[in-house]
Amino acid sequence: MKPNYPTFRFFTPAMVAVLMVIPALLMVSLATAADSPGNELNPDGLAFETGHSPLGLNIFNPRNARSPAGLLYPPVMNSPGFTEAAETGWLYRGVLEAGYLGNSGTTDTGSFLEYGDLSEGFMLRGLGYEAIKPEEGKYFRLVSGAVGRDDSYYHVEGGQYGKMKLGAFFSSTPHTFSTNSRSLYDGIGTGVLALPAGIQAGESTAEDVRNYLNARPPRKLALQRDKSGALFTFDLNRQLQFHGQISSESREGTRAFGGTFSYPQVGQVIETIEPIDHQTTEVITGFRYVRDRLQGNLSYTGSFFRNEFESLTFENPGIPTFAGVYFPPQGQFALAPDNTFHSIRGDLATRFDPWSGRFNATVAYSVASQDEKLLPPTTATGIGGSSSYPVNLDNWNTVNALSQARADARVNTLTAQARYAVRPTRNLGVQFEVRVRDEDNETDYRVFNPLTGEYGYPALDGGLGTVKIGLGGIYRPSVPGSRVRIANIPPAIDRAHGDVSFDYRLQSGTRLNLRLRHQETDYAHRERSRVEDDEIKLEVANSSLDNAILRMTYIHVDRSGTDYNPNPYEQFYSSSFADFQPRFADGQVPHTLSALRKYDLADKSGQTLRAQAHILLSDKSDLQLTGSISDDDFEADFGLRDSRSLTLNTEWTYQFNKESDAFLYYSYQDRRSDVSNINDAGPIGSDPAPGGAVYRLDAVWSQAAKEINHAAGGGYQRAIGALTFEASYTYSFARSELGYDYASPRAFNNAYTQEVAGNAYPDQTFELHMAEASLAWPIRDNFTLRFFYRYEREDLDDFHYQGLVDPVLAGTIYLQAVPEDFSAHLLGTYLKFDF
Amino acid sequence: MPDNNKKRLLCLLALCSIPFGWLILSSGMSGSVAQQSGLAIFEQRDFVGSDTCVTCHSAAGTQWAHTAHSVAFNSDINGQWGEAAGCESCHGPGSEHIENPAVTDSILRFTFDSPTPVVAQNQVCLGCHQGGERIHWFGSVHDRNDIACADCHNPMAEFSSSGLLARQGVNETCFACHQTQRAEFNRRSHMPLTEGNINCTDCHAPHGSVTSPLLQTTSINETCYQCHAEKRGPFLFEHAPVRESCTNCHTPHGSNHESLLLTARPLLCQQCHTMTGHVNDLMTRGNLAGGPRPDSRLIGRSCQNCHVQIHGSNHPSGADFHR
Repeated sequence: MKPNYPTFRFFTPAMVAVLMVIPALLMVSLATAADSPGNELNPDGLAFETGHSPLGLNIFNPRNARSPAGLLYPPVMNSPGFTEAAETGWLYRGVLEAGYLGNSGTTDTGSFLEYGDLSEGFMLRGLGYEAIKPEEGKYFRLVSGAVGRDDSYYHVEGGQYGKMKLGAFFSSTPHTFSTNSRSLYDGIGTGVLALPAGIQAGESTAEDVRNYLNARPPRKLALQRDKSGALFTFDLNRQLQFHGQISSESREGTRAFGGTFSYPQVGQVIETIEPIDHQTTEVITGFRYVRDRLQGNLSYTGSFFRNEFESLTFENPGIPTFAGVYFPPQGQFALAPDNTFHSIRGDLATRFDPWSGRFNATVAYSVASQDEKLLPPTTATGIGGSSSYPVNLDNWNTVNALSQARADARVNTLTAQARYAVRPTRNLGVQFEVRVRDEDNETDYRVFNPLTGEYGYPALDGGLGTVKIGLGGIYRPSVPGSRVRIANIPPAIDRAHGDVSFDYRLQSGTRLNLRLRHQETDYAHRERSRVEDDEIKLEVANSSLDNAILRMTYIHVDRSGTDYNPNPYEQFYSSSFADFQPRFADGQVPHTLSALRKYDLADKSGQTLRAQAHILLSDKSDLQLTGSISDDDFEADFGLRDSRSLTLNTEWTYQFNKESDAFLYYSYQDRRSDVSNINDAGPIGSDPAPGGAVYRLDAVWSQAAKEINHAAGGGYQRAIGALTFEASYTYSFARSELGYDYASPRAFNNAYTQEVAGNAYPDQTFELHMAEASLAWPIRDNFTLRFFYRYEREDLDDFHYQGLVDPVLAGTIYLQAVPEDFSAHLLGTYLKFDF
Repeated sequence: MPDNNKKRLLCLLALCSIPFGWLILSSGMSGSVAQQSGLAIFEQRDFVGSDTCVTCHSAAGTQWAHTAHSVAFNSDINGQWGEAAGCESCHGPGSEHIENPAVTDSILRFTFDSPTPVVAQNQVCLGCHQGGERIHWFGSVHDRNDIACADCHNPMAEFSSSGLLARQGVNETCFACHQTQRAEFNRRSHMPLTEGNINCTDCHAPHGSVTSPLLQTTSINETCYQCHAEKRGPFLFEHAPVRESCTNCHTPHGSNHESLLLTARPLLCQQCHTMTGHVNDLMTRGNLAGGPRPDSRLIGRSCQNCHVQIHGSNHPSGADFHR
């Protein structure tokens, strides 16, 4: 069979291939791996395909076929045929689509610009070129889009089927957080945030800062992510393949960050801006071995993260001060350290004759490490802390004040899994699975200053110790209750599960599956040393009906474990020292409420029921119904107590003919959870139990979260003569209600009334509308004119930002990066040229 | 390594010894598609050639000619298909179908009304595509639920830009069944999936994996670190639930809250934290920016206004994730 050949010829394959390969090789030199082409205006990265083919697929059937699971295949897309290059054996085709994109509305908001470049102007929307040499199995393909824009992509691949493949790609993704932030600092985007001229640390008032910020232009906080890479596969013979890929991803820009020098309203809290200049290089290579009964993979993955900024220093405006409180002149963050990850993995799969046995197994060993040079405990100078307990910060502001110069942090992980399946009879299948994951955290850091011989660190650059001596961070044996950190806590998890499942197929086309799983998780330095999960999963599926496929799954999980120790961390605090003096005669201030259960470790009883029905309404129409209910009871008096959800989905598909179809869908989700807690009465006793002096029952509070989500949409595509019309609509609405209750005003420990406190936050709502339409008009054999229109609107109410119109509130300085609503129109006109 | 984990590994090795023992004792590991699939359709019939097929199935022939399979089969570089190269590589020898075209079941069809079991249909595809990324297909959740290769792929025509998918792209293919995830990706915070910058297979391995949610890597965090390598650390001071699983605080597909958080801050943090001090105060609407007692523990970034490095700190003074 031969493809249909258009008559127009413009470029020869050789010429175009050379033109394409040069930039491809440049991309290889820049950096990857299987990144997929696409962007906001072309999410699937389609280059050649437009509309639906009038030819269809089956001339004997006016309808499209259904997949084995009963899903209607969509209409076949329309794509240009190949042209034969004279006497070369190569066939080729190409497309070039360019035009103009216009926009209007509130198009300067962070939410509109979030992940795409939708700016006005010329757009080379798509460039595609493909050449094949069928007799030799050779091919070359290039797909690119939004050329030159911030969300462009270029993918090139070529090779010979059964022999080798080479590929390269480059893609850009913008990520805009906000366009309306206002920062006090100079030096944004660098590692030093300095106060501007006119703002004097500790002297300027809130009004000075407010006036300064209000006079500043809004700033955009955004990242640009560029990823490039190359890949290859070589079939060394019919059984053995060697493959590899290398990628490099850079992220540059800025994003909102926090910052504090003391307790809120006591010392300065200020939102800062983090400079981003990250580079991640990833290498994956290995061998794949394939024979009939035995397959194996052996691979290596290496990932190397580098951060141009090791630290961020920020000066302290020092506007909210209690009388006599020390305020540090500046603070310093350690930004994400350079890190390295190596992993070696082997996979194996075999099949057996007896009982149609199948076996597969994986062993992987990985090492994640970082050895960044450590920063000094503070950059502040002089005398900090309180007048009673001063701290000479000059003894803490060099790396000589560290117990070690570098982080020397390392986590080793071994993962092993085996799965063994047999089918003793035609109807019965049995499967066993064992999995072990063993993690060792070898990071060991002593929080000790060899210059002073003291444990601890000057918390918040000396700013916190002025509030409460116990929070100063430096151990003082003579002071009762001086509980400070003396070492890092290296968490590590060892997890193993074993399961057995039985699969039974009834003659009626019904399949039953029962799976029993037991999982054990051992924790290092957590509230429980071991947690055990037992799970029963029952699945029923029926495909015997002519017009429906039904599936139902029920899962029950029970979690239990060793005794819950609410404070397993004492060995990492100075309270473990022999000379430590507790705050009270009967003990130390409690670490936490003893009855609170952290939900990842708490006893749990959970149930989930899922159901799915795929109904074949007619030979041109489908209806899907899916739903699930889940209920997790954490069996805790305090902490997360329960979590429930209900989900319903439905989708209707209709195919008018081979070229026209429509679909509608609707999804609903209801999620609820309950949390309870107690506001402590302060460091007035040592009793950690609810009802004691510290955790009084009249300070109990609870919060109930309820989230309702609606999503709906539809699409319609129709061929009108030579024209192709497409339209779609997407709607999403979410309402998060967060209500609370409390035993008395002691729960919120603030001097205002219950009337002011109320019993709920304002509802958080989000609403999205997006309507799109396009019309493709083939004005000549090789030219298609396309008109595109989109209307998009987002409305968001988030109580975290509600009323945030003043950049200085209660002494805290905010960026005012308040999420903005938008309503925008996009209009595009493109001309597509097939060559 | 604790003793109990050594025991677990020993159990696992014991389980592995069964197939390895069998492998040592066995030999002769090759077979044609027909032998591998064990389908009667492939036996005792003759190949007629694709040109014969397209005399009737002209539309299919034209569409198929645009696909990668067409080039691969036609070239038959390694000589593995021989006279079967083309339509009959997958659909089986066509001689009986030629004799009586009305009997459509005399060739293998990958459709809903096909009498061939899904397992056998898939085996035909795996005849060429087994191993590699599909090495964990058997026993995976898609395999156990009788999902056919042809439910997600349709190699007969260009339905997608690449991958011979049954729908326009990876995401549409997955959303055909996973509709809850489609709704989630349209929420306030979401991965840039609907915007085309990533797709489901960047995180998931639909052909089988060593994890229950079919992740590409061996754990949730390892999957997240593929893009968020700056969160990998390990840090001097770790936040234990972060090290355990990103999903303790984040939901991966979409959220009504900032940064894919499971619920609103500070409630998210207060689900676990009530240390003596400031974290267990009930924040009320009186603490909102427009309230009488605005509090940075509720406004904007909430707890992360101060506990900035919540994913872990590498600062010697960062034990409480302030630095």
